Amino acid sequence: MPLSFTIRILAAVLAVGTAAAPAIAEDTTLVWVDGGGAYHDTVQTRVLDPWQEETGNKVVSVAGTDNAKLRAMVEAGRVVWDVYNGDNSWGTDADGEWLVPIDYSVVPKDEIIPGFASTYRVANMIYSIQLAYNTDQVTTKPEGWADFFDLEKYPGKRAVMDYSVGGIFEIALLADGVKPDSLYPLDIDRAIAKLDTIKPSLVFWQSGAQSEELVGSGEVAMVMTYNARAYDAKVALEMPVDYIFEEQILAAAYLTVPKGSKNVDEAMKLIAFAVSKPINETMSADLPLGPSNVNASPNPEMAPDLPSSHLDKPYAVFDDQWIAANSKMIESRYQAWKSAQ
Amino acid sequence: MKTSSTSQIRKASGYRSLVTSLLMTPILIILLAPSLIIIPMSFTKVPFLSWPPKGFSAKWYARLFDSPEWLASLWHSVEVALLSTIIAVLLGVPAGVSLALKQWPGKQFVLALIITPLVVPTIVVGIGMYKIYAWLGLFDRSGLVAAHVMIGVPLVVVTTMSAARQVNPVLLRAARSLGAGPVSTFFRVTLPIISSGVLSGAVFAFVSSWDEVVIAKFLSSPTYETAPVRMWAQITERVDPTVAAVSSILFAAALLLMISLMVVERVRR
Amino acid sequence: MTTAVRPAARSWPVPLPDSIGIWPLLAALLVFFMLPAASIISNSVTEPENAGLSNFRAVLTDPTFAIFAINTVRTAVLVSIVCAALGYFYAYVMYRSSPGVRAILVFCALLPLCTSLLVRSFAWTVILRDTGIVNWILINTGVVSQPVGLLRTSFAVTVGMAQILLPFSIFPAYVSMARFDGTLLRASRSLGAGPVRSFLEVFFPATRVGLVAGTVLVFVLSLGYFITPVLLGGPGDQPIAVLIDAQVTSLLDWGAAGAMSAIVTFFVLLFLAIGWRAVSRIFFA
Repeated sequence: MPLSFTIRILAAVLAVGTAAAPAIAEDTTLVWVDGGGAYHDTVQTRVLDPWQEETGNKVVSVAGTDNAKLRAMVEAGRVVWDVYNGDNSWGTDADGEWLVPIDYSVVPKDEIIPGFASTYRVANMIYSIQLAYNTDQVTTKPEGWADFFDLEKYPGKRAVMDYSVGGIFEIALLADGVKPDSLYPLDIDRAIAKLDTIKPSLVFWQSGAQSEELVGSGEVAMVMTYNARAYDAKVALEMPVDYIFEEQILAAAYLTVPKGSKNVDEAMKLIAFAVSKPINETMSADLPLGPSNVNASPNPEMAPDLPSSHLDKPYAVFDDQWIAANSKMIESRYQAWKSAQ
Repeated sequence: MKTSSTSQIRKASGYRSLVTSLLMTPILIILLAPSLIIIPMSFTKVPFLSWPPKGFSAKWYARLFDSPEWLASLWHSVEVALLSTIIAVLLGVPAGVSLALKQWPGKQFVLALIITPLVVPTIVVGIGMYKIYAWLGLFDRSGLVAAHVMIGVPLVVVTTMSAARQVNPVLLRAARSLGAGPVSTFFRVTLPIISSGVLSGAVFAFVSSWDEVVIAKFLSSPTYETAPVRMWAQITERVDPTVAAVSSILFAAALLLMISLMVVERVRR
Repeated sequence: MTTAVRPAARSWPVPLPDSIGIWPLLAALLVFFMLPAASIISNSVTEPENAGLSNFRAVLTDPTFAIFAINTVRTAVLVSIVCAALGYFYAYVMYRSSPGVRAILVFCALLPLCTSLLVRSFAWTVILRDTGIVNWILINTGVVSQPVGLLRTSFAVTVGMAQILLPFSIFPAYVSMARFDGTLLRASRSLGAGPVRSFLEVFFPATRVGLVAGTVLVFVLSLGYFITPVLLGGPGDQPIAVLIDAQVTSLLDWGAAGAMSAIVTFFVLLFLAIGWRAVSRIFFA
């Protein structure tokens, strides 16, 4: 019995040993990472499938961007991601330590909306932060962030994104009368003073789905959320929700290449493909994602719901470089404000 | 001797037992409510978790078993929990026996070292594990197993130690004097005596892996998720009763394991 | 046993040290736990380059960190008190019950372990939210007309964490009671001490070690809780773990994350060291 038992133990150890072999693909299959959800499906059908058809090269798409994992991979020298589709806070020069500069001999910089292509990143779609409201509770259409902060005119709770650099200070300043083009550098003291006026009525949401539930269920009367989430709540989930584009804050999703990727050249070609006119304009086929290519003509049916169709109304744009340079300070001020009783 | 004293104490007045049950009721409710509440909610008809549950339908279970992602995540959880339990036992049992039965200096320090993975906040080690494991080439399953071994092994050591204290050193000396080597003494004398302790340690290790989410959040990838990680994503994303259905299944599985452990213990005694 | 004398052929060629059993475990612990923990904590002095103690200075003088530290400790203290009181009482009832009832109580205390921590925390959100079970009962029985705000409060965090950690105080307390020599109590009673006095002067001092061990564990474990406060707490209940998570994942400031981690780990180990005698008497003896 002892002997057979010993052998069984050895076998188990060996089995585990083989299981521990590195799970890194050896071929040149590209790996694309994005945030997931409905967006992930759009990327698959509108970008990656056509790419595989056209080039015959394989690309695997995974859901779940994670800046910390990317950094850990780069530092460990084991990078398994090739194209990383981050949000607007990602990919500024501050993140240069972990990224490969975009090769603008391959990627057509002049076709990208000015300001949305920089050293380490190229935007592949434009979205915005907007005000959405519950139509059962809010019967007169709000006109901007000032109404978000007006509890007398619009009673009820407000839901805000629980993310210091997600726009919470920006909406407070816009509500307080700061002109959209003079938002930056952010006057945090002024923003906090404004936020304090409605603090007891604030609910903080951590995920886009939560923001939809909060406003759709009527737990809050108004919410600050992504335009695609507001659209999803109203159109896909048929919740009593509507939204306005006045004073929206424009942002973009960006394509970046992690330093240490084994397929940099191929990744640059895929990025160029993703932002090219014929591909880029199909991003708006199913979702309200605005194109980043100046020549792209988006889905006409989606046009009324695209942030880029409402630039005649007042709007602001996130100054990502300033935010990245000051993110530590912003985070610290935000957490201090939020947790103060 | 204990029975006589307890029976004497048990001659409590009806008033006192009334107070006891009055106090115990809320404690038991707090203990059990969260586990039990999920079950009726998993049979709701509507696509969100509401109270009281509306209608009766098993469709969330059907949906669960139709979803390759959920099934894969459940399978991954089983795989990781089984492998990490086996390794935790292989590492933890010799350690527990050595700590309980052998004499060597620095035991308290080693004990403290062994239980640090239980008390150091998982959030602290999660990303560090991801980085070091990536460096070692351990991704997905192998990384998760390595991490969960660290969490499970202290539990195996503790239960093994308490069982090993019942081993009479005289028995060991007798076996050795009869010519048995240390290895065969271990398998023939020590192991049979401590097996129930090892078994409960293994169950605890299994459950702790089965349950673990903070580290798994870092170590799993979209292609290799465990059930708790997928549940976390669902809870923070779109909560539908599938989550309740998964929890009910996980609950039933763990419950079954626990009950069979108790039965085995009883039979052994 | 039939082979009376067998040559020592089966024994190891070289004598093994008595501590051989722990070496594989210690090696694994070093590579798979200590190294990862060290790799995060060491960021505190290596990032940015030549950081020295600047990260610690920055973190310790940051009022935000102070607020989160206070939240963490306040929650841990509340949870420890609740668990100590309820856990000791529960163990006492277990101790005094008949074997059948005791088995049921053991089962009830272990049952929560069958449900994942994540799901239990989530279940509390369903129980406590405005449209949840508690408010449903309160409104339907006419106790209140408007839902009471229970979710996203310290109350919710305390209840949620106490539920998860209660077994950690029940079992050590019970272990110490089971080891208690009942004749002592009888002796004290026969010497004329009343039940209350016997309890306070004989039973409680003898079983205090279990209470201490359990409370130390609960306290130490609550310092690192992440999931439960995030799901159940309001803005004023967020612990350091949340701050560390933000530094690690969204700000990528691993210098600060390392410093915070080092501070939390230091206090966890410090409290464990303080309670070590009790913990090792309960768990390792």
